Amino acid sequence: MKKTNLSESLKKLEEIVTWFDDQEEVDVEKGLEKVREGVTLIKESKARLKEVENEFEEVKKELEEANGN
Amino acid sequence: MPWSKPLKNFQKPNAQVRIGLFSLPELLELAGGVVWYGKKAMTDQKLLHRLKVWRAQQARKEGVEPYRVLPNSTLEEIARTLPLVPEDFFRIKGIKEGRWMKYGGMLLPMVRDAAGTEETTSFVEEKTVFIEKEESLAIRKAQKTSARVKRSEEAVASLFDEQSAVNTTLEENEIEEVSLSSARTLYTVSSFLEAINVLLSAMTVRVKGEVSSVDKRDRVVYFSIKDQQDESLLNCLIFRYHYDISGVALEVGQEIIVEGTPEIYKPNGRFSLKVQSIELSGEGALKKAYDELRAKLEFEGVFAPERKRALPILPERIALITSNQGAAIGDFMMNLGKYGFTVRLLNSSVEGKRAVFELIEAVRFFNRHPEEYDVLVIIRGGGSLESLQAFNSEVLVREIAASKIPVLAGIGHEKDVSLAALAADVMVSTPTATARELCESWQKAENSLGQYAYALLSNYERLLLGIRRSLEVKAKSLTGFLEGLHERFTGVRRRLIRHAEGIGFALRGHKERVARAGVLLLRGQSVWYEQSVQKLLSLEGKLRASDPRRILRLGYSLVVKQGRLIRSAEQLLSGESVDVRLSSGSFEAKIEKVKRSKQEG
Repeated sequence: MKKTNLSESLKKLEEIVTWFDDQEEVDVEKGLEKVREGVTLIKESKARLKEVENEFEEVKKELEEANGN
Repeated sequence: MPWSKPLKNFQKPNAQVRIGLFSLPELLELAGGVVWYGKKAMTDQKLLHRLKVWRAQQARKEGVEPYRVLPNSTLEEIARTLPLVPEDFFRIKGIKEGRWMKYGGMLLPMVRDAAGTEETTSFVEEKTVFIEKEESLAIRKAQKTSARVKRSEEAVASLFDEQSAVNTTLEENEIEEVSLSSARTLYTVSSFLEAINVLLSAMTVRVKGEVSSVDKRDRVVYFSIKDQQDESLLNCLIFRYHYDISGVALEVGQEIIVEGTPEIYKPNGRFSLKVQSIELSGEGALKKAYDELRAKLEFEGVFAPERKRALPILPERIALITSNQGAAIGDFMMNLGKYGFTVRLLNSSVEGKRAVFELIEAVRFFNRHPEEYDVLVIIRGGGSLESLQAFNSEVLVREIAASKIPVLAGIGHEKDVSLAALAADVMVSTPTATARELCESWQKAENSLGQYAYALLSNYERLLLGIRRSLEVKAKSLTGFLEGLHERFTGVRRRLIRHAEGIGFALRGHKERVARAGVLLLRGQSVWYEQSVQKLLSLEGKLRASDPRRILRLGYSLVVKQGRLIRSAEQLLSGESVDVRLSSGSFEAKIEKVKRSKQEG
């Protein structure tokens, strides 16, 4: 569940950014909506990433302890 | 001990001692016979039971029905007659040379035990001592040591020695002997030969000689070897199975060493050696045989690299064949690292004649369950070409080549590599190297673990970092959009303002111009009025001057023809009438003559 969340969020973000690039004329209303969506995704992803990084640090510590043995 | 030889029976009993009516021998025979008959009447139940128990065990060992070991009638007769010498056994129905050889060693102790309870102790004592010798002979027949052979050889030698010396010491015993065997002094040919064969069966020997004839049959190979010194001849025979295992192809003229047991073939009374193994004599011959066999196997492709399998990586279950007393096993176990190996050792000699049998059996044993083992390891320490002979046996080599379990061989060698090692899937030079070979993949794995741990960590860290960066980029991209929007608005607004200002500016300019134009207009107008007046005046003047009436007043006249003014005389013709105007009035005139003037021009 966790991994997919992060990956999916990233995918969605990618889509949003591409949408902006593709725009010739600026649809302000839609653009604002998209930005709002994007910002939410970014917030969530950053939070999740932090969680993952913390877990990883723990695992890394375990591994280094094991190697020391 | 001389009186252990039943062959003493051949000597005439000492008939000179007489007691009463009977000679001593006869007397004692009688006594013995009585006892013998007495014994015959009683069946030792305990012994019978014991015999039956033994028979059951033996039957299980041999994998046959009990009655095939010995029938009930035979057991009962044994229990009844308590045979203590081979001849006694032979009298019993169901026991002949073969069975005696097979079971005698086991039956005798049991009977002795039982017989020990009998009252005829002196009888039995003599018999017992005699039997002990018999027993040891029978038992030793199964063992093969040169010491025993030597003892047998001595026995044989002394058998044909000066019998006088033997005789004198035996006087006392001989009497008993005679009484024991007096009923049996007369042999039949068959029983005699059997008795000889029993003796001979104890004498396993090794004999060196030169092959003088070879006759290969289906199941047996008959051959003969002769003494190179005096051409004495020894007939030999060997069963095909043993012949193949020996791996020596007999040829006339070869110098060989045979190991076997002598026997006399009763149907033709022929003395021959029943050979169990043949080996070539001399290292030169060994080398030659090795070279030939090696070439033959190479040609067949037994050693072909394509046939060899790689040992499985990270092997765990090891089948080990070696001597549990050699140096090899120690080296091997010491160098085998702690990787959780399960080693199953099947002890086998690695030298000598038994080695070939045992090695082959060991390889076969493990190959009955090849799925239970990862590697089959065969090791032995270094040695001379002769001591390594077992590992050059063709049957063993083929067995190894056919092994379903991959074979790792660490058979110590000097110059020549043993053929067994060549046939193995992997060959190393020493038992220590064998252990190392098994550990190699484990060590590599251990080393790799460190690398893998590092790689694992760093790769994952990199992944996380990548994700983090990606998020930053996207966040920037989004905020970039907002900023972009903002900028565009700002830009547009700016331009609008600028435009507006421009318009205002333009408007102001117009206003000024208009104002200025008004002023200019006014100023211009007054000037223009003045000028206009002046022009009018001048024009009036010019008009007055140009008034034709003025000219007429001066006295000039105007000539007009048909309403047109005439300026030149050419316009006139004589006879025409014209009007002439004067300042006051006019008249008509008719032209009389026209004159052309030169002044016009």
